Amino acid sequence: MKGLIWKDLTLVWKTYKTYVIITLVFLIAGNFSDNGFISLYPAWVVGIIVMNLINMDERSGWNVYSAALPLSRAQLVSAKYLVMLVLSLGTALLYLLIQGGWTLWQGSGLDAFLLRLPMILTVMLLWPAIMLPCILKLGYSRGSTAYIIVGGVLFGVLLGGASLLDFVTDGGLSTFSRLALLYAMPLATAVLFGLSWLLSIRIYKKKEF
Amino acid sequence: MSLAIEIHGLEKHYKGFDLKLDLELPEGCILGLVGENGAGKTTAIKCLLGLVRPEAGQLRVLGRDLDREAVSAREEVGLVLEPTAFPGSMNARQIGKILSSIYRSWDAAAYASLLERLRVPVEKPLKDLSRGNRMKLSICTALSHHARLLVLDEPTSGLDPVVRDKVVGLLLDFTRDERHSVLISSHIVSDLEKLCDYIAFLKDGRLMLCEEKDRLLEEYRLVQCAPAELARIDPALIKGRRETDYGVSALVPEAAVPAGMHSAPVDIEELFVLMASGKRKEGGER
Repeated sequence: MKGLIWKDLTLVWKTYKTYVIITLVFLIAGNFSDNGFISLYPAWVVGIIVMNLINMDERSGWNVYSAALPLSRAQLVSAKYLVMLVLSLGTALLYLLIQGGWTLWQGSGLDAFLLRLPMILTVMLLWPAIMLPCILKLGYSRGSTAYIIVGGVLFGVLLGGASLLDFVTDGGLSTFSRLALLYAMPLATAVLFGLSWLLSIRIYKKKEF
Repeated sequence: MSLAIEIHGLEKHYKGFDLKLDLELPEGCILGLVGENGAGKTTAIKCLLGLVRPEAGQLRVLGRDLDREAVSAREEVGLVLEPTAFPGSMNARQIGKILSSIYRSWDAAAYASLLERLRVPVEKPLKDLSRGNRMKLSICTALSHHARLLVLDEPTSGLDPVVRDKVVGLLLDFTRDERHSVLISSHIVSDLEKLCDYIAFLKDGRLMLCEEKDRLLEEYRLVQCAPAELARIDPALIKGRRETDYGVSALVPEAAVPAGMHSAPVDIEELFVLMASGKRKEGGER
């Protein structure tokens, strides 16, 4: 499985260097803007990269070839989820370093930073958690429909999240309660991500090429 | 005799197509799978590799049951499915690195030596390689993990004669070890004629015959005569026929050729063409 992860990370570096640079630009720009989207954008990029990796696998025939290698279907799926996690954690780490570091250096805006972090983690895990089973079952092309549906669902969740953020900020809750409520979101999404992984294994075991 | 491949009662159904197959490949032999487009060659190979799930049948590779031991069986199978199974931005060195952590018995030295011998560029991205070089690369990967069985789906298709000859040479080298076996599907019957010990003809999802190549060539004769003269032969014994303005060519078992009737040896290509155009014989022979 190490080889599969290495392959995908090598491809990310070779093919999506621009995305990595854009992510850095957005994370830095987030320091100078109150617009939450700028900070959330890198979380979306991670999902886009993984979807493109699957597209590349399909176009080159790697998906068929790899299914005939001495690897179980569970390993093939798990490798994609691990790549997703590695990229997500890497982006989250960059967020912590760039925006967290900036916040500490400025000595202000810690509240906003701590409120934004769980939102970013949630988006990072929620989108692929829904997308990966769809793409692995339907393939990249047919999975595009799922992409649109998931985008809609995610947008709704983000709107809901924004309302929740307003409620949490203005609702007169204690700081601890506010943060506990907010950080429950990525935890719940992490559980969903785990369930998505199990579902994808089930789907991929039945897949024919 | 040990068997490298055992396929018994295999059934795979698609809309408008059914594959029903019994096939065996003895260890140390090369079996060529021949048939028209849509005959079921690729489906048979996919079933064997676990890429599709058969509705019925028992499949064993190198003595291992594919229902229970598919992953360990694949460790000893070298694959050539298409010339570009890797993303185009990768190069031969990177592909070797990936496969070295997938195959337990990956032999980096053998891989490097094969790449050098076949003059495959090591650092050039796949997308910049010719089809011939990509195919040679696929064959290098298939031969670099001490496989005992090679499964090749159309490995010589689209290659120029020089590269095809090199590929054929490599496969012949591989089978010098008597434990090594090859299953190869191809449209290029002349390549199969050079390579194979056994030939299996598939038509419309059924095995028309599977026999030793030499026996096949000895057993059948090509009769060329007027249509009226062909009536001397029992129609049930005619395996295939082709009529032209100048007469009729028919594929007939040697024993069925009437005394005095002119007949000539047949090559695999003619055999294939005549069988493909002739009537179907139900069921396999091995």
